[in-house]
Amino acid sequence: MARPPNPRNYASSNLSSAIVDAATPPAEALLLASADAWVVQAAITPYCGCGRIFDSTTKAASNTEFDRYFAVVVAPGAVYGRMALSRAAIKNSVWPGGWTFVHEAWTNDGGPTGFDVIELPTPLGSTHYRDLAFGGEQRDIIETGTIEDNAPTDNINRLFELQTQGYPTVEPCFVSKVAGVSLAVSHLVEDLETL
Amino acid sequence: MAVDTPVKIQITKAYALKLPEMAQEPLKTALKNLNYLIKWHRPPLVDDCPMRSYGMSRTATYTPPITPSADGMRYTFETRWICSAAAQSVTVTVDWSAFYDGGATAWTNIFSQATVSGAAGVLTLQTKADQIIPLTAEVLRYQITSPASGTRDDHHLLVYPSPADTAVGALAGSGAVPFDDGGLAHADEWPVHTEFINRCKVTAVAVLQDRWQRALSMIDEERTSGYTGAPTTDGWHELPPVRCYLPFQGPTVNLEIFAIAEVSGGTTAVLRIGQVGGKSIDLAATGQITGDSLEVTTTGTGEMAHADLRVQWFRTAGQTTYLNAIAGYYIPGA
Repeated sequence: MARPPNPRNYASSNLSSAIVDAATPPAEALLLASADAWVVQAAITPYCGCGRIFDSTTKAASNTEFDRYFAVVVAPGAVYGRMALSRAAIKNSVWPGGWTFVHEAWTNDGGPTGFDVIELPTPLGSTHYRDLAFGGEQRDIIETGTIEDNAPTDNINRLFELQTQGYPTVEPCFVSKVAGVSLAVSHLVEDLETL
Repeated sequence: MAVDTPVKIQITKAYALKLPEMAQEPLKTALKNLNYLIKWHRPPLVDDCPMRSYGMSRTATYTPPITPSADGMRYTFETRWICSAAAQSVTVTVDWSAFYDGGATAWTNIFSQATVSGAAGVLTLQTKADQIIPLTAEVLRYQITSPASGTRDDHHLLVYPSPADTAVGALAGSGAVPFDDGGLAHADEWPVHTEFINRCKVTAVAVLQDRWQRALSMIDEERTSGYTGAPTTDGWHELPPVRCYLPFQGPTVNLEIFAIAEVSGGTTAVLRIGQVGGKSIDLAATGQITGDSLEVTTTGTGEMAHADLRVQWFRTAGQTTYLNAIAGYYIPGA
C-alpha cells in the first residue's frame, strides 16, 4: 500500500481551528491520520518558486554575460522540476553574428554538461534586454519541457532532475540569455514511503 | 525524556494510519516530525540574482529587505560569483539592520569571510553556515570585494534557515512547540491526547507562517548605483515579467512586497508591482524600505500553480529613478 503525497492548499484551509476539541477523544484513525498529515504536508509541499528578475541578455564585453548560475532550495520528495524563463525582445541587438540563439539550462542533479544540458530555441530572434516602455513590447515567459528522459541522447527540452530526499536539498542550477527565472517542482515522488 | 530530531521526514506506513494500534504510534512519529520540521523547514529568505552584475572591478553593495524568523534563528548564506582571473581572494561581508536609510543606516556585522577562487572563469561558491539573523532585522547589507586581478561577476545570493537542533520548550517567537517524548513514553502509555493531536497542526502552521518564503526578487547595487533603466526615456518603464510558482495554492494568495528605490527629484510614488492582468500596488521611492500586500490569483493547477509578476516604475522628466531592491514573500495561508 503506497502513500502518495497530498500537498495542502493553505489558501483554502482553516489554519486556526483545532483538529479536535474533545478533552478525551477516542483514538480514531481519522484523528491520527489528520495529525500526521498536517506535519507531513508542511514538510513535502514544495516551497514557493521565487521569480528572480535580472539582466543576463545584454552583452557589454563577454559572452559570459549571458550566463546565470543560481541555486534552488528544494523541499523533500521532489523528483523533477521545470523552469520558467523570462525573455525580452527589443531593439538595439548586440548579439554576435553567427550565433545560434538558444537558452541553455541545467540542474546539477541532471548534469551540467553534454546532452544533460537543455537547449531551448527561441522564436524571438535577436534580443537585447532593456526595460520596456509602459504599454509593452514583445516579451514572454516560457516554461521548459515535460519529457521525462534521464539519459538524453540530444539536448532535448525535458524535465530537470532534482535530488529526491527526505530532507531539503540545495540544487545548483544554470540558465542563459534570460531576464528572469523561476523553478517549479513539477513532480513529487509517487510514494512517500520510499523517502 | 528527550527531544529527538529526525534527520529526514518520517513517513508512517499507510496501513498504520488505516487501523492504528492502541500504542504510541503513529502519533509519536507525527510528533517527532514536528521536531524535524522545526529544524529542517528551509524556504529561502534571500534568493537574489544581482541585476547587471558582470565585469565588476569594484566592491558591490547589495541591500535586500528581509523578514526573518521571529525565533531569531540561524541561517546559512551561499554566495556565488565568478572571477575572470584564477586564484582571486574575494571577501563577502554581511551586516544587518532594523531599518534602512542609506548612509544613516546603523549596521551590525553578521560575518565576514574571504574565499579564494579556483581556475579563471569557474564558479566560486562561498558557504557560511549557521549565522544568526536577529528577529528585528529588516535588511541585510552584502559587500563583495573586488578581486586583485581581473573582474568579478556576481551571480546569486541565497540565504535559508538552518536552525540548531530542536530544544525543549516552546519557541516564543513563532509559537512552535517541539515534542518531548517523555509523556508519550510513560509506562502507562497515555491515551491519545487532545493537546498532542492539536499540536501537530498548531506547530506545523506556526513553522510555516514564521518562515516566509521568497516569491519575488530583484536587486542592484545600493542607492545611486541602482538600476536606472533606459538612459534617455522618461515616463513608465517595465521589466520583463517573471513567474512566481505557488504550488498547490489558490485561487487567491497574498504576497508581502518590500522595495528600496529612490529618485533624484520629482514625484516619489513611482514604483508599481503587480500581477500581469491582475492587481497591483504602488510603492514610494523614498530611499527607505516601503511595502504593501499584493493579492494575486493563481493560474495553473497543482505543482504548476503560478502568478506572473511585473515591476513598473516612472521616470520624471529630467530626473533619475533608482531601483535597488524588491523582495516579495509568500506566507502559507496568510
